[in-house]
Amino acid sequence: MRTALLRRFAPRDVLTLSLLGAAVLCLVNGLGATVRGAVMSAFLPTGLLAALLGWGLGHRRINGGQAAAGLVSFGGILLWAATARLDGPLLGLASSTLSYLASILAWWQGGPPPNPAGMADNLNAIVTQSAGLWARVWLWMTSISRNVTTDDVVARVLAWSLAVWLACGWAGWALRRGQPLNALTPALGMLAFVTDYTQMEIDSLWLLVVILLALMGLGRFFANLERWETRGIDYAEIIAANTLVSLALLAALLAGLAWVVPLVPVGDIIENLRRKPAQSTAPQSLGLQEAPGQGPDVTYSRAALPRSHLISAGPNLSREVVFTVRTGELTSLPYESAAVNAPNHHWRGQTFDRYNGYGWYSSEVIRRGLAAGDAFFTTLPPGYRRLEQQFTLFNVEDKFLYWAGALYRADTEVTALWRIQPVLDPAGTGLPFNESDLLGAERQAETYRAEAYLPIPSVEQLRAAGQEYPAAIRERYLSLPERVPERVFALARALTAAAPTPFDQALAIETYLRTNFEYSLEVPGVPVDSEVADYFLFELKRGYCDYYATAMAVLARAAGLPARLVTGYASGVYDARAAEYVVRQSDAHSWVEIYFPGIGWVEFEPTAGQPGFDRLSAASAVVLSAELPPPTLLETLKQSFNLLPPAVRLAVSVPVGLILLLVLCLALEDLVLRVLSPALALRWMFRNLYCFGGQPGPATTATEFCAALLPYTNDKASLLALTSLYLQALFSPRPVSARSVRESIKPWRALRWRLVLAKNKRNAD
Amino acid sequence: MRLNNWLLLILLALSIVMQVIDPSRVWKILIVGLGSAWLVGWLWARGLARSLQLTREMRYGWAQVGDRLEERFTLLNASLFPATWVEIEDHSTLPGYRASLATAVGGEGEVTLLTEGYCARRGLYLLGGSTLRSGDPLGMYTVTLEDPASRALLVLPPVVPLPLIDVTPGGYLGDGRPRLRAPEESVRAAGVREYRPGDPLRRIHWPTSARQGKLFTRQLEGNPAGDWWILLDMDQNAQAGSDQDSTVEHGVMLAASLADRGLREKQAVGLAINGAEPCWLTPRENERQRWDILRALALAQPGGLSLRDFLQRGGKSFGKQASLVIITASTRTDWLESLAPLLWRGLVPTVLLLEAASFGGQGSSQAVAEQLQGIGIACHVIPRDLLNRPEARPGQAGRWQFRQSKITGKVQAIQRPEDLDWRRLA
Repeated sequence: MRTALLRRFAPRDVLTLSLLGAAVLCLVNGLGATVRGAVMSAFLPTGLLAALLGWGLGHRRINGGQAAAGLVSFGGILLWAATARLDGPLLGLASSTLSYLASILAWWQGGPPPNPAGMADNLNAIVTQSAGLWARVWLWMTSISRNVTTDDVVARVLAWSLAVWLACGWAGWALRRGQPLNALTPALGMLAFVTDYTQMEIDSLWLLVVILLALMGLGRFFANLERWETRGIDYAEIIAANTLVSLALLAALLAGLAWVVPLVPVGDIIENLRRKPAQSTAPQSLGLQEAPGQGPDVTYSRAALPRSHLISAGPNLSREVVFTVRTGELTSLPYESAAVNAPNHHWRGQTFDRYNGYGWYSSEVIRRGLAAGDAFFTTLPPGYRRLEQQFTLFNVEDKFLYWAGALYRADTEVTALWRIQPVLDPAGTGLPFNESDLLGAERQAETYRAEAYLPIPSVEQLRAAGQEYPAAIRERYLSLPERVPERVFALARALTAAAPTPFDQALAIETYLRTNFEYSLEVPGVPVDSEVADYFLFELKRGYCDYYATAMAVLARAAGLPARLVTGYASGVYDARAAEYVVRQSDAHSWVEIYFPGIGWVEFEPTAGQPGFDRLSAASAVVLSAELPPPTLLETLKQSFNLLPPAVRLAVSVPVGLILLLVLCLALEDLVLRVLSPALALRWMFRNLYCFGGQPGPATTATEFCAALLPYTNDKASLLALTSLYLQALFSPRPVSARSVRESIKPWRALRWRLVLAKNKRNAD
Repeated sequence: MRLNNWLLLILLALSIVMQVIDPSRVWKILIVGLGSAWLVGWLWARGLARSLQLTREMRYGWAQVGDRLEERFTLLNASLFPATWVEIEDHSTLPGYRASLATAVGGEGEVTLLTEGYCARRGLYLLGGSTLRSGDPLGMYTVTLEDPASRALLVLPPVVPLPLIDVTPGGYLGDGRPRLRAPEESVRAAGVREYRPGDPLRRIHWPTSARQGKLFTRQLEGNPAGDWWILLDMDQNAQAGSDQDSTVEHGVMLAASLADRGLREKQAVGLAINGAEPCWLTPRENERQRWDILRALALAQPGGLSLRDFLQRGGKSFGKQASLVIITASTRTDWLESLAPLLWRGLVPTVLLLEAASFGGQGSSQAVAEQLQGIGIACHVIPRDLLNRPEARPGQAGRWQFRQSKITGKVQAIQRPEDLDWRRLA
């Protein structure tokens, strides 16, 4: 037995299999690190199993077609069953089938008739789960065919697993056939393209190249040995030593070259060589000066890491009232004890997009000051309802504004903290509101009215939303730190495998958390070397809202659903008599929002014991939905103007400004002429004509000047009248009436305009 | 120099194209890794292709079955790169001779190897040429060098001491062809006969010539009683057994040994072979005749002509008054009719019947022998064991033959005694 085993696994096989295993490790490590939601340990068993199966099928008695058929069919079935979680139903089906057969025998011997219900249940479960997975895979494939980005982690992992399976199976098969280069080419190509796209885990690719070179050398050596042994050719033992030493040295040399050479910054070296003369001090010594240039662009980031949302900070249990909110949804009742089913609102303060394994923080934000009544956005997708909220804050330590839903405007000055600012676009051609990203808003007042819009999408809308996430959302809300262990990803895949739509997947995660974990405020701190979600899900298994929300957000991201953490306050207690919500410090809360394309962020409540969010039917949503109020003309003009490109805005602003300035000057002139005495006004008007009609000589009379100007005007009567008035004001004892002056202003201006044009024409000639 | 897998260059080209389209460190790693591997492999293989040289030398130009063959291989590598493996494929046609080997040669180094072989079968064989194969350690390229140098090697049939086999002398005292320069062992004349061209003039008996009016030659006592004609029947339809253990090989061995014996006994020995190419060597008794007979026997192969037809067509060539030794495995008797004219011409046949049954053939040799004896022809039935006995093959009993690898030092037995049992001394 031992001899047979040794013969079957000769040292050359052990060595080749070891290198094959290392190659598989490189491939899965590279893919695991670069493919989101699929860490190495998810692919490793698949790759190793496929490689061993391929190695076994590479036996000479099995031809390529049979091997390929076996590999593809077995791998497909295995991966499908594993992804769709069919292990339980399949085992159940086997068990129930045996039971059914036993019951048939018993029935044959006079027992009760057999009942195939167990088989049917298991069969139904298999069909249902397979159909669910198929629906997701189909949606994923059609999205790809339509060149639309879809982020279904289960379909994605299934596809990658299949690719890993085929690449590793082929590698095992071809390596057994003595074709190392052919064996590793698919894996190398796949890893190269993935690594090129992601620019991550280049080490794995490099190592795979080294393994490929080693396998090529060893493959040739082993093929030679086999040929010599087959032909009975005597060979020297020194060949093995020579080959292995040479191969090791060469592989090390080539590996070093492959690692070092690409790192040589050829471009930088050339650039430095080019810059070196410029850095020379000789020009300064010679007194040559450089034109003062602009300094480099200074970028700065603003840290936004709220310590209170590092999980270990713990909850605040104070019963102190923080604020009261009136929404006007219900009228006040005369009795406090009246049972009122008040709507459940979550008063949000901040949202967080970054998770580091210990807690949440926000990316950099853009601060924008908004006056009272200024709108945060101008477009809103359908499926929202308006909600007026009157806040009275009492002892809120922070300076954040609180509201429920999507804040439209507040009657106080606020500073919006945008991670992604929406474009204020009345035509709806800019960045949609639901793609904007608001950390929160800082307030000045303690009492304010907020006008917000609550998302009320129907279940049908949510299910039909799809997974075509905008790039900004994908980049920001699907990232997870490397500290998140594989078992979290595995749990996410397991929870969502049979859920056909993202909404169902989110519901599955929410339900899992709400039903399987105990709410507790007495929890130990998270160990330093642990990741919060992993610690909560697999070890602690109890906690408060921060743990639940963190776990759901991490699981959702691991399942390919864009998620963020929201902090603020729960509904609080509804005071029916005052028709207001009384919110206390102990109502501080965290929950989760998940993004749905075309709808926006939708809230989910994973914390056990907290009331969940009601999901509406399609009909109810239509009835409740509202639209934004139409903007005023000024707002429209202002927003339209803001939408113009800067160059256009400048091009428009200058002439408009000049025109406005001219109008202003004219108005001012008109005012001055009306205020001055008629004699002074006429004098100012007549002398003003000198500027454009040419300075008269010292002996030129007003009548002569008037005669000189007559060719420039068609309204000669007005010019004569003005001259007459001027002479009257100068020389007549009869004063000029103010009315005469006002009536002459218009023809005077027309004449002045003609003189301006004539003067310009003369200058041009 | 052959690239073992073009996929490498395709991958390299693809990486270069990708680097041009989408510059990245990924493609640089592939380009540098695969490209440098290809370049090193190409340089290595090119160096070996230009500088590997093989020289083959052997000690002897001919050999007999059972002889050892010794050959020397000198492999020279003038390149700086070591040849981590060099395979020398030998194209020699000598059965059982395996000179193919694989070794390694350092850079600017030389390796000398000795190979030994064993000539197991008679025939004309070619020793060499050779094919040299080598390659770079990464297995990118395979270098193949052909060395056409070769040399013919004639392996003569073995000559073994024969048990006593009486060859009936043919002719009378004084018959036969007188030797031209033979010392006169006897001066007593036994008689005269008519002059034949080639007879020495000093043997002319002038008185009788004068009386008869034509030339007569004296016949002296001590002259051979008659020449030996050895007729080897290689009719393929009459043979039995296979390879070395066949009536063909035993017949060849018997003919060679008989010729040797006859020549050593100063008989003029001729050879006739009924084989694929009929062979006639007229009786002579010099060393050249020994070589010619052995060479003819070495190359003899079975043919399709029956012994009966052969005797009918070529019987007159045997002349008169000679001993005819017929070596055949035929169990048929039809050829006996063809013997009658030979008998009438004074030929005295001795038939050596190889016992076909003992070689796994059909028919009974004893019946033929009885019929031959019935008509007064001497006949010996040669069983299979006759030439396989230790005394028939001196030096073969208890003989081990080993082959030791000059490279690895491994020893392998290529011939071992059949009887290896230990026996207690009485």
